[in-house]
Amino acid sequence: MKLNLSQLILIQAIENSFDHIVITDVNGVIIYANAAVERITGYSRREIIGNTPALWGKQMPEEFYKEMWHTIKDEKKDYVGEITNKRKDGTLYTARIVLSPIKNEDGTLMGFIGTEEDITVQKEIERMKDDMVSMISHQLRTPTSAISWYSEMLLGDVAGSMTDSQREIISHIYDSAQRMNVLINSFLSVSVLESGKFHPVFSETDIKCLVQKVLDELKPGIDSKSIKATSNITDDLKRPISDEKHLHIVLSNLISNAIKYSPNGGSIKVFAKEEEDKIVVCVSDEGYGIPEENQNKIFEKFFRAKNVTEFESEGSGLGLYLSKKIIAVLGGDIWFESKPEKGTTFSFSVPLRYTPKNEVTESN
Amino acid sequence: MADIILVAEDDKFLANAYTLKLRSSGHDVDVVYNGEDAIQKLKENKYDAVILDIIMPRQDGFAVLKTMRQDKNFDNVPVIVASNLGQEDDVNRAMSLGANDYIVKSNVSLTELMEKLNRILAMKHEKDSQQTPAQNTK
Repeated sequence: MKLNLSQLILIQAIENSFDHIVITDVNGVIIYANAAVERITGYSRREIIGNTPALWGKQMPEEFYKEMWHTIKDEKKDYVGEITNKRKDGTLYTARIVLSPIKNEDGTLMGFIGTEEDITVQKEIERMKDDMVSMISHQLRTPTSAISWYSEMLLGDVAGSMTDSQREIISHIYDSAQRMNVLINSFLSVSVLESGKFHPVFSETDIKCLVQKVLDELKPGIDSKSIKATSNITDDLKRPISDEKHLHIVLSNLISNAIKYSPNGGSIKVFAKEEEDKIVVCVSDEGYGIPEENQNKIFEKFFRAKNVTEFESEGSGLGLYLSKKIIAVLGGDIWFESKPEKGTTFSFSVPLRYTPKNEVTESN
Repeated sequence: MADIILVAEDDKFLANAYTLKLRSSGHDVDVVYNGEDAIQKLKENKYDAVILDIIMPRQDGFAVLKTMRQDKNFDNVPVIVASNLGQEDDVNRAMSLGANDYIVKSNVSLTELMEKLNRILAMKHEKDSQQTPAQNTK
């Protein structure tokens, strides 16, 4: 078959691609493999052509391959995911894969194209980063405990009674240690979530009770700014099966943000309702709001909107990032509406019943 | 008679903080800085409770707990694990090895820790006084 120039160019582009590319027939038998396939899998093209990708596969659970085939063969859609494969020398590697069905003009399946990008090194770096964050955070907890406890003892007159101004200074030391502890806990939570080690613990969750608990815990902050905080949740609100400890983290984050970003004397409302098969919780304030140009970044790690960094130097920019990750793992959604100078409402939903489908999402 | 508490904590600042607080609350305190010494002290003396760190040199807190619960002489001494590890797995492991309570040091005030300790001591004394002299093997 004589090829024209544009066909020659295309073939060379595929042949020289850094990522591995295989083309198979409808049964998955390989008819073409580019040079990178040899580099990544360790098999020669002679071994690969006429064989199937199972040659360097079979490391994942059966359901993984079932879902993959169902997507590309039955639904005739692209499959994108991460896979663990095995090289000829026996070493395992992680790849990001895209599998695409090849269809002719009338939609008949002709074969498949599979591409692999070797992300083993990337994954290893991410894991090392998570381990480092975890190790540093744990190490920092020890001196933080010491600062907290010694100042607590001074405030408790263990070393004799103190003057008012001494008490004031020690209180600042104590409060700073508490703030440091909150930050360290945030870093640890983020690292656990990102490393995929988060295993939710499911139980019947009383949302009304949980909201009240958080409001009670945040009472000192609420009172110090003379904020009016009310909760409007009915006693008979259905109790979702969810992870109470982590919903506590999300509610604490949203309500403490509402307090932080409200002026003195402002008001905060928390309400919850049942919607189809979910519970939706809303935290509303009449505070500074989020500037329009910052709204699309508000859930980003370490992001803090322009208008609040002036009023409030406290704040790691991790709270909403963490909340979003937690809600995603619990099978829900989180969103907000905000008008600068008028106020903000943050809402999140959790399913009444955690379904297996959500579990698949979590492991992705 | 004052309660005697064994503190096993490798960080000297924290160990000293425990000592100050416990003594000011009227308890007697012995301090060790590693797991091996903790087991040695338990063999030498009778303690009313143990405050046990996990990450320690020469036998960690998990190893100490395991040894304690296998030795008739001190398998019923109450233990509060006070660690800065806080993962679900760590807590479950400690509780399944026989700890009475588990606190994350940086999340708990000394006052709260004392409240937990006093509750555990009260329960232990009640249990001890319910045993008749004949039943009391010690």
